[in-house]
Amino acid sequence: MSCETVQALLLEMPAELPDDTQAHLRGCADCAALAKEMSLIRGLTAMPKPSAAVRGRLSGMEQAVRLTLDEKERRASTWRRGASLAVAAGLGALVTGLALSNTRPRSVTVSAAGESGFEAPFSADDGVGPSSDEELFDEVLWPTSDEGDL
Amino acid sequence: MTNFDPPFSAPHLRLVESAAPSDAALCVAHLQGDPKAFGELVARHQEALYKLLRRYARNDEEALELAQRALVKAFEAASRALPKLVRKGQAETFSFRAWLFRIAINLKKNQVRDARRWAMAPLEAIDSHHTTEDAGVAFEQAEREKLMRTAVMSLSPRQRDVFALRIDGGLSFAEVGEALGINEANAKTHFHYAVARLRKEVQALNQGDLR
Repeated sequence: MSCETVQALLLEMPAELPDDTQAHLRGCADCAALAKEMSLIRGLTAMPKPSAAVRGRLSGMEQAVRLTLDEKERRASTWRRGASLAVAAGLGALVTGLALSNTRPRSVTVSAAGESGFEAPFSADDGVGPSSDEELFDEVLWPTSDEGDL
Repeated sequence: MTNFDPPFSAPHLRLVESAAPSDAALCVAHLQGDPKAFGELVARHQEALYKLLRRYARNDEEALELAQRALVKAFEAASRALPKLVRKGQAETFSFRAWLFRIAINLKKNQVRDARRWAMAPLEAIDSHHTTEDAGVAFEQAEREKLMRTAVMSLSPRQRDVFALRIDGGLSFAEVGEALGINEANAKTHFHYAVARLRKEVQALNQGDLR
């Protein structure tokens, strides 16, 4: 293993050194000096281990995170339920509105009814109903001239 | 090296003890409702996460609070992203730790932006737990550590983040890049600049001792 390779690895400050690198360090003063320097930097810059109090808090971290996630999920599901109720109410109002609009009286032409599959109570040819708008108009009994004023 | 993965499968060399499941496998297990997977993931990463955040926080309480928020966000985000990665067959390359630390770094940045709560060098509040009987030696060591941590905090933000993720978080350079949204080579370059600066600081410190 060359000094160049070892020094490049040391400058990357790995947490552990491979066995062949350690073997090289035992026989190379320059690389060993660099390893010592990097070890010093790591030691001086590393954060200290958590105190006992912090360790106690960390041991309860799982429970705290789980509770927070459960609470968020509960809130989200409440919101989703509220939103779906609102959507259902909106759809209900829409359907009701459409249904009400369908109950209004409206004229149905025979041809349109035929196309839509709707069976009309009479047809133009069966002689039961008025055959045209003109006949319909004639059926209205207008007061004759000798009926005079009411 | 303990984490050696053989490049081929060799049934006759099967290990007696099964290897610990990867983070990605635990994430998937958690999403599938395994109650133990969640605890295992938290236990694996909480200390490194705390140490990373403690470098920036003013006190233990802030670091713990941020660590908890980072874990909550990581699990929420993972539950959205992981199913997609599983579908694409990329779940095994997913690094939960890099993901978690990226969230932590972003939370830290948001804190700085929103409240200016983070001091540049919150070193006074860090307790060094020396057990050396010689109070003078312990004091000197504590002073040296304080100076070096100040040196870390005076690096450029990018160099500082790369250094902290590598040393406190124990990430590989690929993971550091992933956590910071930069490529691996870029992460290495920032780290080398940081180390060069810190070597000068240590040399100055040692020369000061000699004087």
